[in-house]
Amino acid sequence: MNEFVFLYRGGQAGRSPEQAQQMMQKWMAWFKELAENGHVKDRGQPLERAGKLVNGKRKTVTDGPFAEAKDLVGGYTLILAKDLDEAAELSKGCPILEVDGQVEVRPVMKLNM
Amino acid sequence: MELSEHLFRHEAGRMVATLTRIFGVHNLALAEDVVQEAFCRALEIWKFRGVPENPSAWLMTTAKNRALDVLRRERTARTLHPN
Repeated sequence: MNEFVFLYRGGQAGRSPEQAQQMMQKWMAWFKELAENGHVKDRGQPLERAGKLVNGKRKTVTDGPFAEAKDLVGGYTLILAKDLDEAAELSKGCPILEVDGQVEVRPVMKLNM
Repeated sequence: MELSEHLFRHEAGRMVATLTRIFGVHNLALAEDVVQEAFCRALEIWKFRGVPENPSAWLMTTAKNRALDVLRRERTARTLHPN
């Protein structure tokens, strides 16, 4: 099994508390299914919307939140999968996709030794 | 942990009542805000970490701490700028 990072971007939170709760329950069901099939190395964490960007040699610091909410990474998960195709296939179950979000799927670099 | 389908509807009224008992009826709007906020934060975190043993207690503590933060900030602002 190889390791991948899922980065969750954008996606609107539910408009009402009830919708937000339904969304949360969908996420938990998705994580549960992934875990039962041995695909979760670490569920990861949600990230605050606030942040800072530190740039280049001059180390200039700009404040978040960033210009576009849809570009914001809202959380990450460490996933185990056979290859990139399987990892991408697994990401299709992510509830964020139902609310205009994106999942960025990235292989963790490793040395085959 | 199974959550009631209408956790927010069940909890919100009780939480606002408790908070206004603690912070006074003049802080009703604050109580309503922090309850909503606690709920949204809880959902984001529980997505990843799972629902805690006692969701109601977790929500209440989060809302109360948030209200204390807001009131403390307002008091500091008033002390620095009395007008």
